[in-house]
Amino acid sequence: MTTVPVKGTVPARGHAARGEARRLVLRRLADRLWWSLCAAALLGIVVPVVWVLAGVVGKGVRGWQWSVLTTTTQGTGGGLANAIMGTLVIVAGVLVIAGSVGVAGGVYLAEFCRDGRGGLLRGASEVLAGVPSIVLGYVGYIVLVVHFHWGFSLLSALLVLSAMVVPYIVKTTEVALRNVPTAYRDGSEALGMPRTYALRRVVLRPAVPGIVTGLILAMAIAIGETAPLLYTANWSNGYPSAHLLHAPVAYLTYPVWTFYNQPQASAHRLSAEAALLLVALVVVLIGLSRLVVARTQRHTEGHRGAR
Amino acid sequence: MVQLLENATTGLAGSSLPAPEPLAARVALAAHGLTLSYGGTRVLADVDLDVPTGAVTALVGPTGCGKTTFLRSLNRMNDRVPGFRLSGSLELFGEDLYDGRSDPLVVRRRVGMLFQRPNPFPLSIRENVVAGVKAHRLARRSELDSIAEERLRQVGLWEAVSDRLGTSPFRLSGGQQQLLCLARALAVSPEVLLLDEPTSSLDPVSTAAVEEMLASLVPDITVVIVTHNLAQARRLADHTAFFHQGRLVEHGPTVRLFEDPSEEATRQYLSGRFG
Repeated sequence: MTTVPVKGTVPARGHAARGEARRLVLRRLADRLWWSLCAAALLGIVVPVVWVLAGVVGKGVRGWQWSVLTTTTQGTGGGLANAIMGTLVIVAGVLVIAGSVGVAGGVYLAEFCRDGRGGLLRGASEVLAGVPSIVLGYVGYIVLVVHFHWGFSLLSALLVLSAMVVPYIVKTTEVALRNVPTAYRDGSEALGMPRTYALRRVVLRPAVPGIVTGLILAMAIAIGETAPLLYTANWSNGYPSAHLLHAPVAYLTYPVWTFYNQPQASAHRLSAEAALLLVALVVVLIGLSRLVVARTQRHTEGHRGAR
Repeated sequence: MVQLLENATTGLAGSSLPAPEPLAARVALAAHGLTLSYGGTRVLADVDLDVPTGAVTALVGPTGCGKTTFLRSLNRMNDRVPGFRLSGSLELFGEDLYDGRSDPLVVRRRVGMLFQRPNPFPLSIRENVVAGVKAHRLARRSELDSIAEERLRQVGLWEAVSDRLGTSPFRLSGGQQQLLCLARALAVSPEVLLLDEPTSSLDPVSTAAVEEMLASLVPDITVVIVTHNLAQARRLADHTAFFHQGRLVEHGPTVRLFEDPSEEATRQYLSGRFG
């Protein structure tokens, strides 16, 4: 029969007891320290977010006119309907181009390429991610806009932005797929499912949140990018046309940067409103992604449905 | 075409009894001079073993003896393991499992597998049961509901889950999840079922439930079970094979092996001297 020591009843005496007490105090101090560091890190994230949101919303709401959603830009006045449309078209295009290329690349790296063969692709993707956006924009300008005679155009903007965000999508897709438990793969293999079938029906599903997160990140980057678009989409006072080539496109980041440096009050108002719209767009995107994730995760291990 | 499909599905459901065969031919799986290795490291050498049809065969032995590798090669689950090599022959009802004509997907349909830890798919309970049926197109869409019910009843899970077929399987207990995986494996009408320590992650009550299920599968299905639980082998298995240090030391009827082993290593292991 052994006695189980219970907290507070340990029969320690004298020297040993004093040592234990000191260790307890030290451990509590260390706990506190870690806890405060974590709290500080959290503050370091929350404070800038609140700051930016408050600043953007405050400035945007002050001079807000609903007509900004319905009228196009005239010079440095008017509205931003053309830029809103342009940004939506650009984001949708990037989602299609970069999304398909990136997800396919990630799936290939995680599922189909033999060990060692993916190194080149992975390396290329990482280098691409490291290229500054202004350099990509300039290359896009020289090659697509000038050399191919595409002019300032939607397609050149889409290609440059897609090249920029594809690495993120490849990486998040690959990681998401690699994190899928091997038990799912074993199970589907043991049932005699063909590999691509198992991928579609079983393995891909738990990876969807990771993949969607990558896509959202990519779209958020595409929404917020300015430099490559200055070179490729340029700016237009009109709505985006159905033409992929030879037609400049408006986008929301342009007025934020360019109009802010203009002297007119109307330009400043548009600049603030564009910033507000950009933030609102990103928030909507994040909300959408949460919905998608919740929907695909109904039957997964992490989400047991019990609340 | 529809007629053909129906014939195919009823044939697969195993409703027509096979003609009685001579006793010598009643071997489900036959290994002859089977040697398995991973990247030059020999895991199992020169195994000769006949697994009798319609019975439970247990593979026992200390960790690392090669029994799980042997089990996994019975439905070609080792195919994609880098560096895996196999020599000798392995036959399923007289057909070579590893010659060029054998389709691994068909092999795995005929030889099902249950794993150490329950591994339901991240799909609803109903979709889990019919996942294999859909993958192999064994039935029409309209038949899936009745297949799901039939298989869940067979494993004794129907009462517990009939009102939540559309919900996540991960809310079930470990034992229920394992029974669900069993229902999923049975749904494609396998001829052989491989079990890799199927109850080692379960509590005693769930273990009893799973064991009871497994015992009810024979003689319709041939069962091969890897287990560390010698009592389980004794309870369940008609035949037992003892593996040690990459070799098949001895095999035979379970009672004979436990009570009168011919090898010293078998006697020591089965009496708990080492493990």
